[in-house]
Order: sequence, then structure tokens, then C-alpha cells
Amino acid sequence: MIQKKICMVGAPSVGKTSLVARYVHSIFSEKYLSTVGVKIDKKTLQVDGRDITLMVWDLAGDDDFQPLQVSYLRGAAGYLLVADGSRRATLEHAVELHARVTQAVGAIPFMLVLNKSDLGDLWEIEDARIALLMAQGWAMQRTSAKDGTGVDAVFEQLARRTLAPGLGRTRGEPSA
Amino acid sequence: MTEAILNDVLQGLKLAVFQRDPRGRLRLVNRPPEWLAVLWPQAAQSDGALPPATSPFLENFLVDATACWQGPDGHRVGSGLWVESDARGREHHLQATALVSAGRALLLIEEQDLAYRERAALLQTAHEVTLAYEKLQRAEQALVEQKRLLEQRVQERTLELIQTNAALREEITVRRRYAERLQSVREIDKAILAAQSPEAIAEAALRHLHLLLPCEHAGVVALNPDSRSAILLASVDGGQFSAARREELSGDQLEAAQVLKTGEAHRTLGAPNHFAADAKIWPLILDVPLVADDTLVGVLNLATGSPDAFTQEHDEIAQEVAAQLALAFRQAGLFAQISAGRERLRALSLRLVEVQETERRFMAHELHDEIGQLLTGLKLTLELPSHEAANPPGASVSEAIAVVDELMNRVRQLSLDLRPQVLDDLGLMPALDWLFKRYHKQTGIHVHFKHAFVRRRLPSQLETAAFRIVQEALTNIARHAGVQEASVRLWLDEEILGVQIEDAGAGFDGERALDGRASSGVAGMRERALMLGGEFTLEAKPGKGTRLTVELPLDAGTAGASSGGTGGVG
Repeated sequence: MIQKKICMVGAPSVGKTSLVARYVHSIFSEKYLSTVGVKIDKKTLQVDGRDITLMVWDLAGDDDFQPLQVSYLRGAAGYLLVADGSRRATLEHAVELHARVTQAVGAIPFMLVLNKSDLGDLWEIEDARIALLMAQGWAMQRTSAKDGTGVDAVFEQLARRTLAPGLGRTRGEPSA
Repeated sequence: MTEAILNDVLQGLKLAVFQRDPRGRLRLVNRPPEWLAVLWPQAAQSDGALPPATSPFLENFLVDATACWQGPDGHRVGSGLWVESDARGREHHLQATALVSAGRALLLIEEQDLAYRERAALLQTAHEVTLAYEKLQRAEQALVEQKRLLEQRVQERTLELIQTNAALREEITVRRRYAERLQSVREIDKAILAAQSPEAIAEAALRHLHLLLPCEHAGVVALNPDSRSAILLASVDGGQFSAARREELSGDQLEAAQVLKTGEAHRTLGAPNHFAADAKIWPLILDVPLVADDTLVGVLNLATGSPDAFTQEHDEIAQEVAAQLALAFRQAGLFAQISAGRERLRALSLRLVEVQETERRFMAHELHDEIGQLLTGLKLTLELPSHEAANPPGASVSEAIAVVDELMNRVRQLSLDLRPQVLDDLGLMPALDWLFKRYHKQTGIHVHFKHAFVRRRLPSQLETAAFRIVQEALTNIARHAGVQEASVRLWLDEEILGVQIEDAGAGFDGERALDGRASSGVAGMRERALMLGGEFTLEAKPGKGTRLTVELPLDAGTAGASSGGTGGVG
């Protein structure tokens, strides 16, 4: 059995815990509850015929009250960089977190997750900005923890990246 | 005893204390708290140790803890809060601390339910406030953006309105100026059309034109038919009019005028005016041809002290006025021709009537005096033998005498019909008295004659016209009216002789009678009145009688009529 540690990184209230709840427990709650500290869940999935157990570390949203402790990413095989599509500032926050994580643990597989895609009318992130990040080699997935759009896919894609870093690796990630 | 208290305290604090032994295992050194027995039973046993893979979080923290334990006494590091779920799914909120105490490597793990709840509540509130603040910020940004867009739109719209307003004002100004121009040109047209002579036409045009155009000199020049000379009909210089000048312009002057060579409007800069008597140099002269029926009949000559005084609009006004002037000159010419023709026709008609009356007078005189005398002589000759022989004349002679009597009567009547001697000898009133008696005798119609003037003689033409009109009207009554009486009124004032003939008979279509197609003689009566400058009024309708009124000017028979009576200017 392959086991991979992946971390949920992002600003508060972007939907990290909701994504994990949707992915691991297939549930969603409209009520927002701030995550305090760390909560670890695990889920087994099959990627290319292989069983993988993902140890999903749901980290508290980074802010002045609970700054991200990069030590939590020690030994992580990858991370999901989560932003709220209806709040433009959370994407820039994610970009800044990516830099901090990379500096601390090196370039490991990650994916940018633009969550809350169900809030179409309130979407704030311009396509041009996304295109700019993708031009830098970032992989991106739009998701909605509320309706499940893209949730399984983004975990599966990250798992695949952690298994074969050389394939479909985000530019700048280590090859081993 | 002390250890027991300490254990109670640690248990109350839900704290598990592990000490790393020389083999690196983490052994519990106090009495296990409740949560430890539930979560990790193996570690809670009396000789239990914390297995390395018990918790991924702890496993990760032990890396930091191991580093910490390498440090000096008192060195410590915290793990931060994390969540562990027991076999029943209950969550335990834990926090670990690694420290070095008296050379011992210790690991403290504490369940922080209360602290967790407080911290969670604090963070929840903080995040909700932050989210609300972000929402407010976004709303404010949206409002600011909307305000900016609104202000931008207001600015754009204001600019559009200013531009539209300016365009409208310009349009209004242009239209108003055009309307004023039209009004002025129309006034010029009216003034020109009201004028009767070329001089008056020219003056009327200039009086308006010099107010419309910035010219210091304006003149209207009429070309003589030979095109080699011209007449300055009227001019205005600095607001001073010189009307009806009829100033002759020499051929030498005119030869240099370009407008006469080309027949087109021409601007001359810094030159003397060819259509003025003086030699003054004008900065700008505008000559506009007056063309009627493709013939150059004159020039509208404008001069100004500024070389750029005339705009295109001024040119257009000058062209329009020139066109009207040319048309007016042509109309004045045609009207003069018509008036002259009408005057000739009237004189001819008068002469014809005079000749007719003269002939009638002559014939009447011949019949009465000559033929009548001869017939009287013939009758006396026929009667003479019977007087001398005291014998009655034979039947044939008696018949001859009767024929002569009849002939004498016929000649007398014919003479009277042609022209009653009394009209020439005694005048209109006696002639009418005689006419009415004879008319009554011949037709049985009684004429009520009313008059209110002194029995004085009037000019012969006037008396003849009045007599003939009354005579013709009474003849019509006898022929068509079917009445036994008629009335005639005659009046005289300082200026006119009035005649009115009226009956209450069958009447007729007056308009048809006047157009000359009927042989009632009404048209002839009207012509006779109009020839003398009089007025003729006929009121007649079928079944409603007839009233004919004629007013003849008293000077008609002396100085001659000045008008045909149908309007217009002679």
C-alpha cells in the first residue's frame, strides 16, 4: 500500500475543510467553521490500477492568528493550494503561500484549486490572471465543494503527480 | 504523598507526561489521563510507551521534539493544536510540548477541550469579522467603481449634452439667420412688387438690402437696350439714398466692367467702381448681374471698405435680390407695355364712340333736315293742284300723300332713334324726359324718374354715355323683364354722375350677360362706362329683378379718363 501525505494550504475560508469533507466523507455544510490547528483524514483511491492512501492534512487557514507552520508540510508528497474564486485576494494569498512553502520544503507537486465555482455571478478571478499562472506551469482545477464539481478529480490529479513526479509535473517541481 | 498530588494535578490538567528513556522510547511517567486510555490504550498501560506510528501528527512533531531535546535545560518546542479521533469517532483536541528539564527529555501531551473551544470561538469570530470586512470592502470597492463609472458616464453624457447643445444652438442660429434672411428677402420682394417704376423698384430694393449686407455703397444700374450705356437708377452711400438719379453712365466706364463681359457675378479688389461717377478706390466691389429671360438688363453694384466683408451668405443674398430685381424689371416692362396697349385701346374705343355718335348725329340731321325737308316739299307739291283747282285730288294722289306722310314719320322716328336732337340742344335731363315719354308711348312701360341735381349741362361724352346706357337698359327691360314699370335714378356730386336703372322683373344671369356671350347689350354698357373711367355694377338674378348702377367721373368728358377701371397702374 502506497501512502502519501498531502496538505491543504490556503487562506481562511477558501473551503479547504469543505473540500476534504466532500472528498473523504461526501458531505457538505453551508455553515462555516474555522479550522483550528491540524486535522488529518485519510482516503484510499486507485490511480492507474494502484491503491494509494492519501493522508490529507487539513491545515488551518493562514492568517495573522494562525500563520502557516511550514513544518507541517514536512514529508508531504504534494499539496493543494486552495483559493476562493469569489475573492480575488485569496488567489494572490495562495501565490504568496506557494512561495513560502517552496522555500521551506522545496518544489513538490501541487495544484492550484479555484474553489466555489458554483458562485458564478460572484466570480472575481479573471481568465487572464489564470492564464498567466498557467503560463508559468501551474496546474489548475476549478472545484465546488458544494456541488462536488472537480473535487475527486483534483485529488486524483495530485495523487497521480505524487506517484510519478516526472509525468504531468508542474514546472519547478522536483523530478524525484 | 507529593507524587499523588502531582498526579492528581496532571490528570486534572488532562496532561500526559512522557519521558524519553535511553533507548529512545517515550514512557508515560504520570497517571494516564482519561483521554489517553481512550485514544491510545497501549500507551496508558503502567509500563506502556508511546508507539512511534501512533499518530502521523505526533510522528511529524517528534522530529522537532528530537531536535529540541538536543538543546539545553529548559529548551522547549510546541506542536500546535491538532485533532485525533478515537475508535468511537470522538474528536480530541491535543497539543504537545517537547522540553528539556533537569537533563530529562520530556514530551507533554495535553487535551485542550476548553482552550480549543475558546480559541475556536475566537478564530471563528475573527474569521467571520474578517470575511464581513472583506465583503464590506468589496461592496465599497464596487460602490466606488460604480460611482466612478457613474461619474464617468455623467461626464460623458454632460459632454455629449454640451456638444449636442452647442450643435443645436448653432442649428438654431443658422435657422434663425436663414429665417431672418428669408423674411428680409420677402420684404424686399414685396417692396419691389409694390413699386411701379424701375426707379422705385431699385430704391425699394436698396432700402432693405443695405441693412442686410455690410456694404458702404450699393447701386442698381439698368442697362440701356444698346448695352453700351446705362442708367444709375438709385444708390445708397453710407446710408444716404440717391433715388431716381437716372444718372447716365458712359460707355468708357462700362467697357471695363467684367460683369458686363461675362454676365456673371464678379468680385473686384482694390479698384474704382465702374458703376459710380467718382473715381474712389474700393477694397472690394461685388457686381451681380440682373438677368431676365437670358438677357442682361442691369447690375446690382455693391462696394465695401473691407476686402473680406462679404461672406458666402452675403453673396447668396445679393444673388437672390438680383434675381428678384431682374424679375421685377421684366414685370414692370411688361406692365408698361400692357398699360400702354390698354390706353391705346381705350382711346381708340372712345374715338370710335365719338365717330359713331358723330355719324349718328350727322345721319339724324340729314334725315330730319334734308330728307324731311324734301319729303315736306314733295307732300306740298302733291297737295298743290287740289288747292288751286278746288278739285279734290285723285285717289292715286291721295295714296301718294299718305305714303309721304308715313315716310316723313318713319324718317323722323329714325332720326330720333339715331340721336335725339334734344340731347345736343338741351342736355341729358330733357333728353331723358323725352326718352321716357316716347318709351312709355312705344312700350306702355311707365318709368319712375328720380333725380337730384341742377339742370346744368355736362360734358358731351358724359351725357351721351349716360343717355345711351339708360336707353339700352330700358330696351332690355322692354324685351325681357315683363314689367309695366321701371325706375331710373340720376344723381350728381362733385366728382361723379350716377345712374341707376331698376326693375322688378324676370331678371337674368348677370355674370353670363357680362361675359359678352349674351346679346343683351349689358357688356356694351359696361364697356361704355369703363371707357370713361367709370364703375359699372350689375345686380341681377333670374326671377329677382335687375339693378344696374353706373358711376361716371365728371372729368371723363373733359380731361379724359386716366384709368380703364379694371385695376392696375396705367
